[in-house]
Amino acid sequence: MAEVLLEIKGLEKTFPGVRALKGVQLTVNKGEVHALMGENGAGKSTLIKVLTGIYQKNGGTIRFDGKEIDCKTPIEANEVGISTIYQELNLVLFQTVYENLFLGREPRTGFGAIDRKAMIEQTDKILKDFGIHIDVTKPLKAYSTAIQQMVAIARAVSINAKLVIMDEPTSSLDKKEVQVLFGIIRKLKSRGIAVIFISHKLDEIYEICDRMTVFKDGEYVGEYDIKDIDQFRLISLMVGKDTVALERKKTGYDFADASPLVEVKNIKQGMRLHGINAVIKQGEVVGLAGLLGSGRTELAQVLFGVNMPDEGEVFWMGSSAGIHSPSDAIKKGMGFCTEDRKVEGIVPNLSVKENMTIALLPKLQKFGFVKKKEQDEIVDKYIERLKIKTPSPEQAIRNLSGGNQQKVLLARWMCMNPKLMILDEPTRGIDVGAKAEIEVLIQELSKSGISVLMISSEIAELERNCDRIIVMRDGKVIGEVIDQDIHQDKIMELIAQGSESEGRV
Amino acid sequence: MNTIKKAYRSFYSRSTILAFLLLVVFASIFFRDRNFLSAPNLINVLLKSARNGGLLALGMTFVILCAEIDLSVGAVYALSGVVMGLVGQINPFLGIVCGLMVGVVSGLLIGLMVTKMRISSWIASLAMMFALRGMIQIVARRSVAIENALLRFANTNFLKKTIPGAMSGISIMIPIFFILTLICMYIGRNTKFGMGIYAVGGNGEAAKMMGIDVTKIKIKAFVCCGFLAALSGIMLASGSGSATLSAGNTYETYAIAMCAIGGIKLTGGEGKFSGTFFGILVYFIIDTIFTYLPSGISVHWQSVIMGILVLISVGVQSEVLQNLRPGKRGQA
Repeated sequence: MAEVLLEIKGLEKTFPGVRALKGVQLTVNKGEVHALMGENGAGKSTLIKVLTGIYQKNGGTIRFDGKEIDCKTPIEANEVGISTIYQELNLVLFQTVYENLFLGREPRTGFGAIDRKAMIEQTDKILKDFGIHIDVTKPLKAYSTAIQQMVAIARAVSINAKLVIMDEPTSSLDKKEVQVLFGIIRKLKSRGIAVIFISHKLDEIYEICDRMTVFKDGEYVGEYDIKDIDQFRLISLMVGKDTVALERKKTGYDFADASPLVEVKNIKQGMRLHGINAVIKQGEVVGLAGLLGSGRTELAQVLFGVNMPDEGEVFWMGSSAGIHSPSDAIKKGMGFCTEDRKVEGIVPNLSVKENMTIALLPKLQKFGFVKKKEQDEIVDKYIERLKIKTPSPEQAIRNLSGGNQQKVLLARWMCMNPKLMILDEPTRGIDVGAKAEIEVLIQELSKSGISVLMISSEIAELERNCDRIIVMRDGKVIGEVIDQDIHQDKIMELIAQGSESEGRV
Repeated sequence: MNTIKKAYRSFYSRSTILAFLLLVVFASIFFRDRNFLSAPNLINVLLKSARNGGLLALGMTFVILCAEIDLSVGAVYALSGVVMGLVGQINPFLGIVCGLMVGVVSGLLIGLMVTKMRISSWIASLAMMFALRGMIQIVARRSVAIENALLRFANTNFLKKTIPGAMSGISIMIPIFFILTLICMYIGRNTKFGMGIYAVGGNGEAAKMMGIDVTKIKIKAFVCCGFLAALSGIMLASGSGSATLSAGNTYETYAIAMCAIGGIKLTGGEGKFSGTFFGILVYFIIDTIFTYLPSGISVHWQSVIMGILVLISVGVQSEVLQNLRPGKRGQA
C-alpha cells in the first residue's frame, strides 16, 4: 500500500453567504500524480487555497507528511513542503533565470555579498537534471511560458517540496511543450514527489495522472483510479444531473429555413480555437456546450471582436463582418453578457441607471449632453419589464443581488435593440428564482427575432433553452444536436467521444 | 530581420551610454571653437552632476525600481542643509548628523505610510514634500550662513592650479558622487537587498510568495532615497557656505527625468544604477550645452528639449518597441 502524504478530512470553508467547501476529503500518496476534477464552482481552487494558506479553513483537518498542519500563509506552506505553480506564474520576469531560482534564499560569499557564481552553477545543475539546457544568466522573459513554468517547478523542487500543486499548467503550452512538462512530472514522481494536477483537458488527465478526486458544488463526489473510470462516467460525475430537472421547454425546430445571421468559417486562434465552423440563424437560441477550456468563451470573444482570429472569417448577414473591436460588434448589433460579471460587466459604484444605459449613451446624447428624459423612460421600462428589484434607478448596482445585476446587464444590451445576444454563463451565481426569470427572458428575446448564443457549463440549462446545441472540445466543434436529440446524456457522450481521435475513451 | 532585431536590442540596452557618447561628440564638434571638451568644462559637468541633483536621481532609482515614487527629495535636499546650518551652530558634528537624519526620517515615514497604511507613494511623498517645505520656513526665516570649518567640508578642492583653465581644482563632491554611484551599483547587483528591490518592483506578488519581506525592502529603499537627498543637500550648503530656503525646488522632477533617461522603468523592476549615472551625465551635458547657446532663447528651449529627450528615452523602452525585441516567446 502506498504511503499517504496528504490527508484532508471534513474540510469546511465558508465565505459570507456561500459554503464553498462542504466537508470535503482528499488523500494524496507519495509519488503519485493526483487530479482534482470538477467544473467551475466545484471547490477545487478553494481547496488549493486553503491547503496553501491563502485562505483559512473553517473546519476539518489537514495532515501532511505525518503531522497536522494549518498554514496561515503561502510561505508557511512552502516551508512544510507544499509548493504551488500558479496559472499566472509567480516569478519576476525581468530578473535572470538563476535569480528567480534563488530569490529570497541567495547564497552568500564570505563578504556577505551574493554569490552569483554559485547561484549560476547550481541553477545550471538543477535545470540540467530536468533536461533543460538554457542560458540561466538571461532574463526569464527571454524564454517561453513553458520554460518559465519549468523554472518555477525547479524552484519548488529545489526548496525541498514534497507536494507540487499545478493549477492548469498546460493552459498556455503547445503540444510539444506539454510533453516536456509531462517528462518533468514523471521525474518528480520517480523522486517520490507527489503532484496535484488540475486541468480541464481530459486527455491530459488520462495521460499523466494516477488517481483523481472529483468535486461538484463544493462537495466530495468520489475518488477513483484513472484505470477504473472512463471519460463518459467522469463527465457525468463532474457535470452531474440537474437535481431539479426542469422540463425542456421547446419542441420542434423552426429554423431549418431561417437565414443565417452570423457564420464563422474555419476560425483559428492561438492555442484555444482550432478551426471552428458554426452558424447562428435569425431568432435561434444556440447553445455552446463543452467542458471548461474547450474554447466556448474564446469563440464568443472572437465573434464580439475582443480577440482577432489568426485565421478564418466571420460573416454577418451574408457578408464579411469586418469586426475589429467590441465597438464594431456593438454597431453591427451584438450584445455580450460576459462570464465574469464583476470584472467585465458591472461598474460597481455607478447606479443601476448608469450601468444600464452606459452602452447606449452615444445614442442618448445631444451635443454631449445626456437626454435625461429619454434615459429615464428607457430605464423605467426595463426595470419593469425585467422585474429588476431595486429601490430606485439611482441605487448603486453593487447593492443588488447577483440575479438583479445580471438583469441590469441584460437590459443594457436589450435597450440597444441587438440582433444577437451572446450570454456567457448567464445564470452563474444566481438564485433559482432569478434563474427561471432569466430563462423566460431568453425565450422572449428569441420570439422577438433576436438570436441568442448561450454558453453554459450546465448542460441541463442548455437543454431547457436551446434550439440547437454545438458541442465543443479542445477548441474544435465535435458535434451538433438539434431539437429532440437534445439530451444531457447525448451531449456528454459526444464530449467523451471527442477524444477518440487520440485513441482513448 | 534578425540582425535588425539584434542591433535594436543592443541599442536598447546601451541606449543611454550611446546618447551620452553622441552628445559628447556632437557638442565637441559643434562647439569646437569654444572647446567643449576642455577640462574645465568637463569638470563643470561633473560638479553639477554631483551637486545639483545627481544624488537625488541615484536615490530615486532605489524607489522607482520598487515601482514607487518619492516626490519629497527636493524638499529634503533643502531642509537638510538648513538643519545642518542651524544645529551646526551648536555642534558641527551634530549638525551633519541631524542634517542626514532629515532624509532618513522622512524616508522612513514615507516608507511606513506606503507599506503599513497602504497610501500611494505619490500621495505620501507629496504630503511629505509640502510638510517639509513648510518646516523649512518654520525653522529658518532666511538663508542660513555656514561658517564652521568642519561644516564646510564639501568646499575642499583637489589639484588646485594643476589643471589649466580650472585653477580652483576638482571639488571633493565629484569623487564622493563617483564613490556613491559605485556603492549603489554594488548594492543593486550584489546584495540581498538589491535583488529584493528588483523582485519587489518586478512582481510584488511573486516576491511575497518567495518569502521576501516586501515591507522591509520598500522602507529601506525610501530610507536610502531620503539619505542620499539629505547628503546631497548638506553638501550643497557645505560647498556654497549658505543653506538657501528655496534650494532644490522642483528637483524631484529632474531626478525622475534623469532616471527615465537612464532607462529606469517607472513601472519598476527594470533598469540599472549605472543607467541612472549616465542619465545624470546626459542631463547635465545638455544643461551645459545650453549655456553655450546665445542667451535669450536657451532657458525655455532647454525645457522643451529636455521634455523631448525624456519622451525619446522612455519611448525606446516602451512596450510597443519592446515587442520588436526577440525572445518574447522564444524557443523551448
